[in-house]
Amino acid sequence: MEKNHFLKVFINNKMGKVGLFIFVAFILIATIGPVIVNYDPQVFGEKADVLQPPSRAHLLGTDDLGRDVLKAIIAGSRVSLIVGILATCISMVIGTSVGILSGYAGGQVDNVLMRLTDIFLVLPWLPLMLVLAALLGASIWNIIFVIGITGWAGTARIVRAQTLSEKERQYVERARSIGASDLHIIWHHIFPNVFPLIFANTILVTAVSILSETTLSFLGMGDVTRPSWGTTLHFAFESGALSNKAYWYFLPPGLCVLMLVLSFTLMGFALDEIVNPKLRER
Amino acid sequence: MEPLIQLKNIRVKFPVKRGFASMIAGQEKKVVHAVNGINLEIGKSEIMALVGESGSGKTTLGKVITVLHPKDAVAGEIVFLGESLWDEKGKLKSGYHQEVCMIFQDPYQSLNPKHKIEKIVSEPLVVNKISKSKAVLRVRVIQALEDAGLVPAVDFLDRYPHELSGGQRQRVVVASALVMSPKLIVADEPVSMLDVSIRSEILKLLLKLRDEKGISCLFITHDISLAWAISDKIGVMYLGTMLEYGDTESVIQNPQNPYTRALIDIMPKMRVRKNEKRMLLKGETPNPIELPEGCVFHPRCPLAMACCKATKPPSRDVGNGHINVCHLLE
Repeated sequence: MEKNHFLKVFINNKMGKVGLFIFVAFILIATIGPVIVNYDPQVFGEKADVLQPPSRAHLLGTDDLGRDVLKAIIAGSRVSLIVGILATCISMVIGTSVGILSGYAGGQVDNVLMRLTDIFLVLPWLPLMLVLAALLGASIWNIIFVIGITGWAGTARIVRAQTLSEKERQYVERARSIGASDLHIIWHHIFPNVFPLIFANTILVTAVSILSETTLSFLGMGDVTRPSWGTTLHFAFESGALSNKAYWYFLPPGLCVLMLVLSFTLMGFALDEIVNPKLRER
Repeated sequence: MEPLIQLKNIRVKFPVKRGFASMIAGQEKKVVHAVNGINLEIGKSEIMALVGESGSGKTTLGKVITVLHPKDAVAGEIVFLGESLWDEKGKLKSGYHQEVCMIFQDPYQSLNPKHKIEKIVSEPLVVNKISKSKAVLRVRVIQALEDAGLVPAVDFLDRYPHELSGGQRQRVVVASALVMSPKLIVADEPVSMLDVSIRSEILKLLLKLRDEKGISCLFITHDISLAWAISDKIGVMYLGTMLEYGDTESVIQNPQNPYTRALIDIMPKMRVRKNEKRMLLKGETPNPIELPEGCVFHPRCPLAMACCKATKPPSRDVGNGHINVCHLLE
């Protein structure tokens, strides 16, 4: 019953509906697209094809190496989504563990973990990511790791706050009175009640992760063998597409990032409205 | 007869968190004296009521029995069925959580909204590793639900707490206590959140459990008339101290302590005679951080004498184990 209610509020919510629609569209492009178009960034086009505006042969024109921009974007959608989602998974696992542990244990454990969280919160994340990415080298896995490990602090804070309120509930005390272990209480009582919040937060963090990936790739930290939208933007910038007014080169990847991030943000807000009763529309 | 559980000189102290400023100023660490040296015995198949106003430490004492306090906060000895609750290494007697269960005040708060009734009631069995077989668990859950008066029990297994009424929820809480077949139930104001019409059902249920299964009960309440209705023995608590203790009839009909008299005098009556004098208390319970010297009740006692302020009153048996802690009778 509860799950249906969840879905219903989500579908009835305008922001949620639009966000979900865009998200599903990108998922379809990312899963089916690369199978159909078969894009290899290593294969350059003919000299006549360099920086051609959109035409029938190349629907979104070509880049400075004569490659099809549409194909690059379809291939890039998969990279951007995978990096965004996997990095978010890392952030969520760290953030949730730290948050629950810190809130539940309290005392010195809480103190230490929260100061650590504070450090990650106030660290300028962009320079940190750049340094880490440069140190580790440009591979898709390193980028996932770097984004994941810098993005968990906010989640940890939110989860800790909720855990603090959950652990004072009477059903937690009842569980303790029958001799339940801390692990049992965390897994059966705290986590299920914190989960909706984590879920809503996950979606918002995904938007940030995708944006971070784009930023890193745009700054040239991306994996060139697996170009994401950010990488495409990077090359567009390098080759002077902006001053050449080659709008077909830089506009589509930019818009794709915008749409995807927007869809996650919309879904996140919609979910926030569901799990946060204070924001629920009456 | 050997009592089921004995509390000997139980003291509970909670440290008060100091602010940064007072820490720097080097102020002394303050302590809340929640329970101050209580002796208590609960017999087999006996309902004992703890009565007292808010802040008297009755819930704290209940939680001492269910071992819910941090260990360093509690001092004193607990003997359960002739054995000390903790061994020399400070380890809790194994299986104790199966013998003693707690029922909480608010049935709307004490059930996890995410769990179905079956999971809630079977939780003590799972936690104490009684059985892993779902069939075995289900049989015991159904039995417990029926004992708690939820029939037909099968209809309740797949429901969520929010689908039940307050009375039904409290029965679920009782069922999840019964599923372990405990010897003692600590009931912390089990009916104060329920409608008056449902209260008597839950009270009858506790009486039935005592009569049929021999389950003892520590019934914590602020309402002395409720204690009168249900209990075999009454303990009257004030500021963490037991002021009067004895058989229910003896305490209610022949109250010795001024505080007990005051509690009885505020019970609503059908007819109040015009010239009847009621003993009414004024003010509030003092701060448990700084306990009054002498008798803890003296600042509010209408009959307080000079010696009440100076020395602690002795406890005296006025007959049949009816104990009164007061200077008045000297």
